[in-house]
Amino acid sequence: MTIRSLDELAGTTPTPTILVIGSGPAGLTLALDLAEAGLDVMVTESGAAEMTEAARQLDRGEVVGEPLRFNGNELGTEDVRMRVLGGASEHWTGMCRPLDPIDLRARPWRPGSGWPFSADELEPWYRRAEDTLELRSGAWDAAGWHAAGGSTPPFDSDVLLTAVHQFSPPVRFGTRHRDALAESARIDVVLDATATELVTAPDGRRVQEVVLRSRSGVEVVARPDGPVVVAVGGLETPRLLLASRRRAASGVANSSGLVGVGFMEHPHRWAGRAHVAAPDDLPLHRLAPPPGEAPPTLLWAGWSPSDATQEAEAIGNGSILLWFDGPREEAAAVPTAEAAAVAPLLGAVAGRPSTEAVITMRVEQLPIDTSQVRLSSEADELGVPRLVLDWHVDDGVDRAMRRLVELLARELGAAGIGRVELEPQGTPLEGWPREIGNHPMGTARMSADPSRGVVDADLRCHDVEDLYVLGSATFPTGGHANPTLTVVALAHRLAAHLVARSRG
Amino acid sequence: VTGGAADHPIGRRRFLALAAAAGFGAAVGCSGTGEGGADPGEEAAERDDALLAACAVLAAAVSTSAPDLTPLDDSVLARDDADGVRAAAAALRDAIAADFVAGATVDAGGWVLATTEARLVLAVAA
Repeated sequence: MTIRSLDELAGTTPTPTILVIGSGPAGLTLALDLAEAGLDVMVTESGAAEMTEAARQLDRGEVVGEPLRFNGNELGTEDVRMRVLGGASEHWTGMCRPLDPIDLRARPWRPGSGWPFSADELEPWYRRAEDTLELRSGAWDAAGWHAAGGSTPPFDSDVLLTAVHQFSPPVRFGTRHRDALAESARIDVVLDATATELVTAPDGRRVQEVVLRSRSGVEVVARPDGPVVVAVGGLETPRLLLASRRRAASGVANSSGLVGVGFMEHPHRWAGRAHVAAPDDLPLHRLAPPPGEAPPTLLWAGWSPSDATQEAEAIGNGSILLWFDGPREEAAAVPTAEAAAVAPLLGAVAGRPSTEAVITMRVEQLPIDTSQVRLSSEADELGVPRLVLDWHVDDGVDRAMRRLVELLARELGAAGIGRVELEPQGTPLEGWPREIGNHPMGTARMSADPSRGVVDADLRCHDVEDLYVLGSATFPTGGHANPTLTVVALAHRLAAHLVARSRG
Repeated sequence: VTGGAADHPIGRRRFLALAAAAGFGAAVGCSGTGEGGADPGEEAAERDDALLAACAVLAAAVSTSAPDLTPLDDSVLARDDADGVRAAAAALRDAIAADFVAGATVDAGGWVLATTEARLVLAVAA
């Protein structure tokens, strides 16, 4: 088998044993595991081996809800996805963190929360994913931070917990595995192969055909001989399911009406300043492990509200980090004269000099019905309706952000090591732009109840028995952690499921 | 800056002594050596001016956000000698930490201050 373009398959009708749509971290992790277990897989990728503008144009859509701000820029839907071998991993920073156990729990104060399995179920798959992404195993808390040589301030762990983020080197799946894919006897990678439609059998229970199109006009209809896995991310997944309307106007796997509904992001904000005494003694930011440590993962520690705090405050999970590396857009603009005057006073009170850091925070949002991915009346050059992204957040997002900063202020003050400025330049925290994390989630959510989710705990669509969805689209809720580590963990887990299924 | 104890519940002189005892002087390199050839006395005066200006800014904000808050009274600094100032500084630090733990904070123009801190700046700026 090989890496080839769809045009080379013109006139054929492939019958893959397993068809994986999408070659991002999810699709390639799955395919590599399946091949290792002796199963044949076809992987289709809409893009090429390198990014192209033509592929990017297929992602153009409409943003009608909250704007998609990222790093101070307002983005279009074509800026938040990547059609290329390796998917978004070809461009990511590598920032990783697992979900916290509470993120998977049904929390009475968080409507829509509750994964169909507990964190224990994911634990072994996280260990696999850490290996895949070349991360330090299990180094996600204060103990991991200490083991890497960091120190932590004496915060009350009943209030705020140390939350460590790790940076994968980063592993770029397309670049990293290109040779292995080309040489694999089990994996058949087809580039410039956009899945434009899933066609089910008349009873809707099986995927009969997958329509693939290239930009040169070639159409190939694959007739899968086994499972089909949609692994094209939180935006393209609902687009493909909704656009597959040959049997039902509502699309494929959408008897619940939930495909595309409950779209979630990780709302971010860079707002407020922390004046922290003696940060050299408190390596709170970007700690490189001692020389010789392997893997050479960069770590970044912040804080998350404890489980008790989340429940007591009726907020979702989140994290708060300090950015000591200098100005960062508006929130770090030149301090006012007042701030410049106040800082020495705070140094006096703390008894040490202070260094200024911009506060960055991110919180979990709820899967609210008004936040959606829908289809546009306009189609792309391959005839697929473009998407309409109508992002909204629940009322609790701003409240959780404010509480997080207030709790940081409390802990820094109680520890005698700093103070927090909530309203730099007189602008309240809530007045600073809300940004995205480029983490689209929740558009084909997982639930044991077919009326409350699109896929079950095995990621199999409730409506279509051989159709699976893999990726952040399936997250019932998203915690605050970057999703890639969890996506890769789910890919390893799904591979084990499909291997077991193939063996009866 | 010449304000004295007679002018304020906590005099400016006492407050500056308190700040020095709390480590401010050493922290910003104002222990008398100076930097870059600057006159140490001039540096100290500038530092004191900045400190008092900060108190004025914060006090104005506290007066708006917490109009019922009263200035810290003079008993915080029972003695003017070095040991007394050090003890007062330590007591203040403890009181401030206790305020934060208890969530007893005041919004001072966007700054999150402990109530004791806020009362201190009110006293200095009175």
